[in-house]
Amino acid sequence: MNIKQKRNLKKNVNAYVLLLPQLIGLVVFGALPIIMVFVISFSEWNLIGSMHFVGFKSIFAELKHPYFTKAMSNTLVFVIMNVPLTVGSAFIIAMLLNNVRFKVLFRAIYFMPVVTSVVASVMVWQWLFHPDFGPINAVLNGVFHLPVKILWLGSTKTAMLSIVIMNAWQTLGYGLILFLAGLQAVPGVYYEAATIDGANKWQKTRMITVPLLSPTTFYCVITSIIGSFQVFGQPYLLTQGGPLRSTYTIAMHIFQKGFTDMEMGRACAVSLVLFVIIIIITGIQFRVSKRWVFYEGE
Amino acid sequence: MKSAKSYLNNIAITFKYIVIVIGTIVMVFPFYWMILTSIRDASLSYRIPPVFNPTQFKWQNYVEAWTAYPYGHAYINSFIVTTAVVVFSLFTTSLAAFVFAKMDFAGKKILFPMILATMMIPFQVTMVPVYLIMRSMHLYNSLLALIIPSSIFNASGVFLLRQFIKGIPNEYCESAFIDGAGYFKIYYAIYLPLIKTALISLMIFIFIGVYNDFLMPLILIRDIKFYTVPILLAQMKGMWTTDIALSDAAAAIAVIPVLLVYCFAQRYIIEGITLSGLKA
Repeated sequence: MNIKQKRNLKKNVNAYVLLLPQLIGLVVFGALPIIMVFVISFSEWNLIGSMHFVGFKSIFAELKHPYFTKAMSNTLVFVIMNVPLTVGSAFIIAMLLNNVRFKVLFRAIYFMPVVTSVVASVMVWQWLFHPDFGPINAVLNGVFHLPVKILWLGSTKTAMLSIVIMNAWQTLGYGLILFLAGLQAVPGVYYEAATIDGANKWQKTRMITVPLLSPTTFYCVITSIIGSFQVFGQPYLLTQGGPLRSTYTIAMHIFQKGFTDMEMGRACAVSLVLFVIIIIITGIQFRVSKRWVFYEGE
Repeated sequence: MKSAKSYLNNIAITFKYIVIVIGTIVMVFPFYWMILTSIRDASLSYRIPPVFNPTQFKWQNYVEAWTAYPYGHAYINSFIVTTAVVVFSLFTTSLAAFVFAKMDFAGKKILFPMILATMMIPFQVTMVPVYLIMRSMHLYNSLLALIIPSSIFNASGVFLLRQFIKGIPNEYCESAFIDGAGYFKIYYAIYLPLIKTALISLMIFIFIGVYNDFLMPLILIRDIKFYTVPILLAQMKGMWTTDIALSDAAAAIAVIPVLLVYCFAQRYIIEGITLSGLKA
């Protein structure tokens, strides 16, 4: 080997040695589990006996199973309700807070729920949603004199909505931070030029703010969608998937199959489906983003 | 004309502030409610209409919440796990970030996107295999099971630090290299001190994430002596469904460390998120 090859080799070895911990982590906890999900999906296994390979049987059985389809539809409902609510509210509040005094204080307050443990939040919100003694209904029925008493977590119609509301409260701060940062990054010159051209506030927002904020919006929407698909803590703790499985999500189904029923093949089959769905949706997002996301300098 | 325009303007501004204040109340109210119910007797919280002002206090709630279950033990477990993960992962992620930012090596163009791709894999997809892996390594039901994965697998951390390090000029690296320093020394002596702010942000991020983590301890820990705070809290929630004062006191105790850290360090947290979000 000549000197150059020797030096290259030494450099490569050096790099990989320093990378070793994260590399091991990537393989053992990133790549290996995915492979395992694939492999185990094609089997039936209850941990006690040995793994029997059954081809697509587990996967098809799951796809037909009513619990799976219920979990899937519930999760989709959650995603559809949660993402616009959370990202939209974060966007609006960011726009409102952008030029306000005490912005830093408000920002800190809005972010507080994000750092709160989901268990603690659930303990409080469970009571807030109480149809008889909870403050929410007290205000709705007492102050606003709503004719109906909403059952929130007790009714199949409103349980998922309740979880969406609670989740929006918990995660809004995250999007807010991102949007505020994005708003700060918009160069003031654009607004000044627009003012000179005689644009009003609404036009400025539509023509300058929204397009320049689109990369941030894109990032927010993607992380919100992926996060919504994996919702577990709130339904598990608040309603245990009820009432009547109306809040039973995909993540809960994986948990049920893998850790309660001990059916590893089925659990991995569901994990596989979830994985594929997320990849597809993310792929679509990226494709569609070429239409509406505008990176500065293009 | 002018006064009409400024009149509408004033209405808009007032409306804006009203919305902000309402939003703030919505954000803060659950915390207020949690503290409120935890410092008075449970029966006082069962009133219709609800009483929003505390009149009689019952600090005993906190004592009971602390002693009824091994809370101290759970705190110690959480502390051990969180500290270990923070120390190890800061070390491994900054090393990896340095390598990706400042070193050129074979396979870098494939490896880095692969690491990024893992950021999109939710834990729910890999949780069953991780459980199986832990079992096969005989680490199931131990604190190590909670420490190891997060310590050596943190793609978003690597990404955040790598972006940060990339912003530092290469001259530091090159001149040190010419002086004969090895890569590890360059990383340790030169770059690590330079990325202090990013490290602090990441550290607090990891701390809060690991402390609040619910799902991983749920599937990897079985014995109550190894429970972390969130898991124990969930047990208490099941126990005290009717005594809201006790359960909210327990919740308050669980939330205190994080809120304390948050109060002092929120600037770093927010800066960290801002950095990663803008560069993504």
